[in-house]
This record gives sequence, structure tokens and C-alpha cells, in this order.
Amino acid sequence: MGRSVEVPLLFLGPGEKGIISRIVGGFCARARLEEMGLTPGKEVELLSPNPIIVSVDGVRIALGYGIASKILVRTRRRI
Amino acid sequence: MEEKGFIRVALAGHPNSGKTSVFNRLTGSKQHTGNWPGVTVEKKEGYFSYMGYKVIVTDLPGIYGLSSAYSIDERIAKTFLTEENPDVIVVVVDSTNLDRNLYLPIQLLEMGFNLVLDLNMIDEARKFLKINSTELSRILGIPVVETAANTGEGIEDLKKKIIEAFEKRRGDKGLKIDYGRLEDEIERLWNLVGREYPRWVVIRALEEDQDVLNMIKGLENGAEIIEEIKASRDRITRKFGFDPETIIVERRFGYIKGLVRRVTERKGTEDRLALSDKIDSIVTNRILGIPIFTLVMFFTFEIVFKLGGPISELIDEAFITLSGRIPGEGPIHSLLAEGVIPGLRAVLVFLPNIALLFLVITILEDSGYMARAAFVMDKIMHTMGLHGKSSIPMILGFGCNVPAIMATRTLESEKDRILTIMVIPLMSCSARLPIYVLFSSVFFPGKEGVVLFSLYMLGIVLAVVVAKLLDTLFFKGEVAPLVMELPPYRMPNLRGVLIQTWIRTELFLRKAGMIIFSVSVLVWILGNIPFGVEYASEDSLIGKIGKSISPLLEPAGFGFWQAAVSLLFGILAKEVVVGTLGTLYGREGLREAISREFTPLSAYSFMIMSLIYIPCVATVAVIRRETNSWRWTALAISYSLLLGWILSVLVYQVGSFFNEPIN
Repeated sequence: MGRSVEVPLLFLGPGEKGIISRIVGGFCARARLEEMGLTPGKEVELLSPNPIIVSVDGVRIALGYGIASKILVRTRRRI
Repeated sequence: MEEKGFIRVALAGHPNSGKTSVFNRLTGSKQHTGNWPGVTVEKKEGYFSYMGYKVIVTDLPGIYGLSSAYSIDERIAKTFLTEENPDVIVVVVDSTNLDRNLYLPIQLLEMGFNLVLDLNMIDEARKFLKINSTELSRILGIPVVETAANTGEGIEDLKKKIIEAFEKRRGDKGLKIDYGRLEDEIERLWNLVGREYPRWVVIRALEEDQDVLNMIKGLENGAEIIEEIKASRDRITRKFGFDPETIIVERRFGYIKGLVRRVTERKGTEDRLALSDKIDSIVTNRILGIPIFTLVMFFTFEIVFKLGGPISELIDEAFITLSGRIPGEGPIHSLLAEGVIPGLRAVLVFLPNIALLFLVITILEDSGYMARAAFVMDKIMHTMGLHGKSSIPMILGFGCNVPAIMATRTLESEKDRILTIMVIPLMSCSARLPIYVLFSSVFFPGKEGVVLFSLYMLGIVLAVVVAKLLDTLFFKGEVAPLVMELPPYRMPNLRGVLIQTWIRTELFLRKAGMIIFSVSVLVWILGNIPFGVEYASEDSLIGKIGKSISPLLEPAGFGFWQAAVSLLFGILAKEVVVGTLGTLYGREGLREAISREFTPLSAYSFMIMSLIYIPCVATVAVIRRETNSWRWTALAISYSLLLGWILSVLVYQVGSFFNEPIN
């Protein structure tokens, strides 16, 4: 088992899962992200890294790089 | 039956909940569209009569919730709900994903709105899910309906439930959600604000809803309470490590999760997502994405113009026959044969292309591809200051600018819509092609392809420059970040597609048609004044206008009145430019005439002018309608005229300076 690390969603590998820990920065799209279900505590899976598609609650959401770098997730990694 | 009165209903839901289909099913063709006050987002209203009531339905923009102040759609929806206070709100949800879709209705229920919950796409959900809607209705205390709008299932029931919700209006106590660790703060603030206000006011205040905060500010000891709210927010953030908004949203989703667990039972797994993901791994692939998009666009063109072309020709021929058969003589005959009929012809000849275009767009939207296309093109479009979704209307512009501008309705942000609309006229539409073909074949034989390509490219380059310029001039700092739901691929439903296509086409006919028609009649009148003059000749009013304009065109190399008149008529429809030249030079033959009047250089400068100057009347009309602003319309007309003139003069003058023909 690896230990839990906090990384931007952007850095997940394809097929890797993580739990959203926080969304940083007071940018205007945050409320939108949260309404779409990207809230702390939710599990996300990175389906495609380039371009970024994540799966949350069984729904596919496409994200720009800017936003994906501001969503922090906890994931288990071997270090 | 006697009318019992009106019921005002608002239709709300996620962008991908099938809300539009529900709206179309409820109201049929009894609908009209306009714009929301002050913005260019489309507002659709319709009505139906049921059980003695006239039910007026307003289709709100697709939204996920009411908290995101940056989204124009959410602002519109919220303003409508709080200020217009509709009798009933129907929230349409995608039943295949209740966990996410119930957020909006829960938020609305908390605020005490009178709701009907529409579990849409129930046919798909049934494949893997059993939903106990009776239980859901009991827990939430509102009518719940199961519908499948694409087949029409449950629509009658929905109508019935709307009446039911209206007749036994729920008390507006609102749904109470337990906010756990925030409850102490909520109670304390509620006492401060006053228990006569509903609880949600306090919750919205903690979520920093500006409207609620402003309302509180106006209270007797408002300033004090605002300070208390701030202090409370800080305490919560310090104590729990998250700000109140995040905790509140989390708790709402938590409540929904529990609710969904109580009322649903899963049977088997969904395989539809696995297939959808597989398609996505190809369609949105980093390498294949753009070629696939190009191919889709290519086929769209083929369908719209190859399939529409022959039908357009049939319509055209019918009109030619018709105008030849108008009996009698005199002014009425002339008005019909030279004014009304050509005017109607200019509108109806577009019709097959436009209907087919809307058909293809609707299929692309309903199948789920449109969202992917926008996503794939996002990076390229960003360099122009535009959103990925702008790429589709812009490419459609090569066919015809009118439906292309109407296709910008799929864009969410006002900035993206306006920028895209403003540059679409630079996409060289098919009506400009005859001009290029005529002039390049006369002056650049053997090199027509290169000339044509250079003109199309010029249009694209100018679009990039103009978009960038307008972006920095008018929209500083408004960036719409990319967050987009990719709905699962679906087989479009034929009936639904046809209804939507018809509604869009009919709208075009009604609105743009009126304007094209009236301008045609105006031109006919100008061509016949003073009385007794030969139609559209040098001595007619239009000929005189041509003569007064032609000196302005002198520096561009085509300062003769026929060119001026043809460009003037070209504003009607760009196809008319060649036709007008044909009429004016009728006696000696068009090709001979232009090879005498133009040089290769002035011919090229004339083509540049034709490409850029003032969009045709239909395009101008549709720009006015879609931007809902005379200022943007005036800017579109003036910038294109100025840009066209400057560039054609520049080309002619620089070319003349080197004193060599450019072939």
C-alpha cells in the first residue's frame, strides 16, 4: 500500500481515482463546480488525461486545464 | 369549456435533462421565442390548454443550481423565479442520474417554491433502476411524474399534475435539511434576522447570496446582522476547515444520497456508459479528435448543400415560371414580377438548406456529439478569445451566414455569442462564390483555385483578428472556464428531431422573411423612380444613388456606377451582385463587359470588397434579432464596410504602385 497524497486533479494518471479534498482559489466557477457535484468528499476518476475527462457520480465532465489544476484530490500512491 | 384562468409555469432543469423535449411536447407549436430582458440568451414561451386552464410555460435556461453568480443562465433563472414568482415550477430531471439531478429541485424546495418533479428519460432509467416515485412524492411532499419526452410517455400525466400542484398549493414552509455542524450558527443568525423570515434566507445568506444579503442590509439593524454573518462565516471556516458554501453544498448532496437510496433499487449495471466511454476514447482522442470533427463538418456540408441544392433549384425554377406567368401589365404586374416574387424567392430559396442544417444540428445535439465537438475544438478557439462551441457556427458560416448566426444559440456565455456573431459574416458564404467564380475565370484563368483559396483564407484570418480585437475592446477579463458535462451518447428520436427542426425553421421563415421581403419591395420602388424610367437603369433613383457612391469606389479601382449599384443590390443578397451586373451590362454580354471595365488588379480588389463589405440583409436582420441590440448590428455593418473598403483600396493602390498586374 502507498500513502495518501494530495495532488491537483491534473496530475492523476488515466484510470486513477481520488477523493476531492478541496477546491482552491476564490475563482468564479467554483459554485458551478460544486453544483455539478465536484464537491469535497466525492470520488473522481480520471478517464482521459488529455483532454481531461473525469467521472463523478457516473457522469462524464470535461474540464479545462486551468480548472483541473485548482481541484485538489487525495489519492493513494506508492512512493 | 369556460376558462378557469391562467397558470404560469416555469420549466427548470439541467442542460442535458431533456427539458427542451418536454417543453416541445407540452406546448407543441404554440410557442414563441424572444430574448430575456437585457441579455441575448433565448427566452422561450408557449402555452397549452388543459382542464379549463390556459397554462403558460416559460422555458428557463438549463441550470445546475442557483448559487453560481457568474453564470448568466443562473442569474436569469433566479431573477425570473424570485421576481415573476410563477405559480408552478416543473423541474425536469434525468432519472438515470438522480444523485446529481435532484440538487436543483432540492435547492428550490428549500426556498419554498411550488414544485412538480418530472422524472424524465424514465425509459432509459428503467433498464437498470427501479424508482419508487410514490415514495419520493410522499417524502418531498410534491407531485412526481415519470416521463419519457422523446416518446411522449407521461406528458398527459405531467399536465394533470401541474393543475394539481396549482389547485392545492403547498404551504411555502420549505423543505428542511439538517445542516449538522452548522445548525447552531443557523439558529443564532435566524433569531437575529427574525423568525418571521423563512429559514432558507439565513442559509442563503451563509452561502453569500448577494440578493439575500442586500435584503438583510435593508433591515432595521441590517448592518449589524451583516457583520454577524461575516463573523459567523469566519468562525465556521476556522473551525471546520471549509467555508460555509462548501459545507452546505456537501450536506445537500448528502441528503440527496440518502433520499435516492430510500426510493431506488438498482437492478444490474448500466452498460450504456461503457459504450459511451469507448466512443469517447476515439471521438475525443488527442490525435483523432480534430480529424473526426473535420469529417463530421464535411458531411454536414455535403448534406446541407448537396442535398439542399437540387431542392433549392426546383424552388428557384418554380419562381421563374411563376414570374413569367403573371398576367397583365402596368405597375401591379411590375411590383409582383420585379419586387414581390424575387423577394419571396430570395427567402424561400434558402429554405431547404436551412431546414437541412437545423436537422443536422439537432441530430448532432441530441446524439451528444455537439458537446464533444466543442470540447475538442476548445484549445484552438481559445487562441481567438472564443469558446470551443463557437467553432460549429463559424464553420457553418461558409455555407450560409444566416443559420450560422442562429446556431450561436447553443453558446452559453453572452460574450462568446456576440463575438462569434460579429465574425461570422467574414466566413465566405456560398452566395459569394458566384462572384469569385465569374471574376477569377475571366481574369485568372487556370489559377481560379488559388484565388478562391486566398479569399477564404483572408476571411478566416480577418475573423481571428477581429475577434481578438473586439474581445480586448469590449470584454476585458471575462473568461468562461471550461467545465462541461458530456452526456452519454443517445440515439436521437425521429419525432423529437423533426419537431425541433420545424420549430427552428419556422422561426427563420417568419422573422428573417419579413425583413428580406420588405427590403426587396423598397429596392423595387427605388428602381422605378422617377416614373416611366427603365427599371434599375442609370436614370432611376437607384442608378443615381450608384453614381453618387461610385467616386468613393474610385480608389479601389472600380469607380463606375454599375459596380456601385451591383454592390448596393448585393446587400440584399450577395448572389444578386453577379445578377445585377448581368442586367446592367445586358446588351453586350457580361464577360466581355467586365473584361473591358476591370483589370485583374481591380477585379481582385472587387472580390475582396464583395467578401467583406456589409453582410446581406438577411444576415443583418438575424444579427439584430440574435444580439437584440442595434449597437452591435450597427457595429457589424460599419466595421465590415470600413474594413472592406480599406483592404480593397490597399490592395489596389499597392498593386498599382508596382504597376504590374498581379497575374
